Amino acid sequence: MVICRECGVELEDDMINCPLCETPLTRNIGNGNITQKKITRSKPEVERKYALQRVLWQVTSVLLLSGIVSTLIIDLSVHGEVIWSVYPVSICMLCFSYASILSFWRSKLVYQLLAGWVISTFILLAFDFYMPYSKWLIHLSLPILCALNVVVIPLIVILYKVKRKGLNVLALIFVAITLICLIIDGIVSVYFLGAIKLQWSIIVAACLLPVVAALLFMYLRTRDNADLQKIFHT
Amino acid sequence: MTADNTFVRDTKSARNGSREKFWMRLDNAAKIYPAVQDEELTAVFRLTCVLKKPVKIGPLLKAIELLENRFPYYKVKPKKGFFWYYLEFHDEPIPLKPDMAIPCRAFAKDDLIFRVLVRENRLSVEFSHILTDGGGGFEFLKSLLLTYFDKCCISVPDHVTALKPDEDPSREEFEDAFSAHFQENIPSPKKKPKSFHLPFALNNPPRFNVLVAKLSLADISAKSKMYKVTITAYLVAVYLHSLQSIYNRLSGFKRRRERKIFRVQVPVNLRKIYPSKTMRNFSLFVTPEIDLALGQYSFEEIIKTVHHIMQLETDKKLINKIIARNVGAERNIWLKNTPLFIKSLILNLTYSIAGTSRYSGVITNLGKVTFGEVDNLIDHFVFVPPPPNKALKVNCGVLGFDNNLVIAFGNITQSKEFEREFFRFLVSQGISVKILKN
Repeated sequence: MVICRECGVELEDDMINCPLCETPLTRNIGNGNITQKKITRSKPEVERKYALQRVLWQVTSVLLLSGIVSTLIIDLSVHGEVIWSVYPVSICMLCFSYASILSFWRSKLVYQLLAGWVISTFILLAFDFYMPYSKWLIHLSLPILCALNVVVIPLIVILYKVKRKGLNVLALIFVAITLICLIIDGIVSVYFLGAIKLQWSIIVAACLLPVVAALLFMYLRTRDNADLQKIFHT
Repeated sequence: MTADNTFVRDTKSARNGSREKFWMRLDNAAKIYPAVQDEELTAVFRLTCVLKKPVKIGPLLKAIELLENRFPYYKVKPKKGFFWYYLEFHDEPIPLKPDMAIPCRAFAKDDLIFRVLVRENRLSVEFSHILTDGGGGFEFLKSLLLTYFDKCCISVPDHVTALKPDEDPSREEFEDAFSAHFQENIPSPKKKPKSFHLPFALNNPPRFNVLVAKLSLADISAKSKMYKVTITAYLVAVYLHSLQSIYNRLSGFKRRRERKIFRVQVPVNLRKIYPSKTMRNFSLFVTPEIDLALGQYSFEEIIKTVHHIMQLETDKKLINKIIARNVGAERNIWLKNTPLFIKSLILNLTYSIAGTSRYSGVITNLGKVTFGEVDNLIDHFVFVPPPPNKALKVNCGVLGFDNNLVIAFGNITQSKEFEREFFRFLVSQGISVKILKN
């Protein structure tokens, strides 16, 4: 007879864990006696997930590093100085910072993204320090980075909190894309024209927002509690 | 739509696991609980079966699996409507958990509002009063136990009646029996004045603790027969006598400040009075009382008063009056058309002013249960009533099995004086009392 040490219930002989408290059981058969001892819970699925993340980081790092090196070599060999390669290099550096944080810092996704935002800002400021003539770093890239984070982080929080996930998720993502487009268009127009003048983002918004409305309508129509009698019964 | 306005699209589809959703109105007794319940006042009661051997988890899992589709009306979650709360079916597995925490804990917001708990040789079920009362809860426990015994290869005698796992739930089981037996144009019963409350200081949260005692059923039965009353009437009399003793020990100032009416709520299972198979709430209270403004009562006087009040108040015509008052209030045109957030405030206020302020305590006797030949596998049953509110402070659940009567006192105060008084009196009457580990 095997008794769970936590719950005191009798378990079947072939059980590995107590179904109630998940306490794993090991049976050490010595001197004809069966004993149980509590062992530390292993989380193989979590470990597998982290191992996969590490492999992905390694692959990403090699790709990004090769991108940085190749663009720098080409730029330097053609112009003798860093000119256009600063764009792909800065983008690769930002991607590398995000990939490293997501792979190695075991925390909530929101905190990981916040940390990525801070580090990316420092990377862009560092580029600006070494290339003070590149005004776009401060006036273009930093506002766009902020805009992306300001939209994406709340989107992730909202998606996490939404209980019933369906077409509403797609609708929210489209709303986020529309917002990002509008903000980027605004930032770019301010940078180049000195005033907010939305152009292509208006077309994106005009295309996506009706889709969002349709998706939300379909989502609400198929919700379980669309039964008005249930909600308004007296 | 059924006669009682309960919306059950297809009970058979729920039974057959086709996962069709349905929803139900809250029954009349349940309507108050979503408005007043919180982490302490959980409105959750517990029924425990203490077996003689540890629970075998394998057969228990199989038994629960078999019962998954038998009680669809319990697989519901309370949801907010615009005017009232309602119960929405959620086809989730019956929650089975280790029994490690304090009894009668509140349910999480998105959980089913009943659970099965297991520890060593104790098999418990906990139900929110929103779902059912002790009668309905015990039927579920009975089905679970008998199915469990069956899965343990222990033959269950045919004469033990319980809801079988392979039966379809009938429409009557879903019924809001209060509405079904409501009669219009019946005068309401008279309002009762406020009553005495135990003057003990409250515990810090979590406040609720339980004291369980086992008494000899033969002793208490003999004593009741001696007074020519039922066991419930006898226990209510002891309850009132204990309240009186505590009142008498108060200082002069406190005694003048406290009210002199001692009134105990005694739930009555209306399934025994009306022809109903409902598995939801269907009980009301009778309220035996003594008034110390008329002078001190001897135990004999108390027992005589209790006996006659209980006889009188369990009359079907008087019960009809109480049902008419309760359901009539629910159907009041102003109240029913008030939005829920305002209604919740009104119900909360009503509960504290007009509800428990008129009672000094509650004693619930679920009666004696028997399982025939399988009785020898069971040691005893315990019924733990829902945590009392801050006014009542103490309440009591009683359940008889074999030659034992188990009394469980739920208490949210720092004092055990009431329980001490109650059991000392029983011992003085020659009834042996054994306090159990809970």
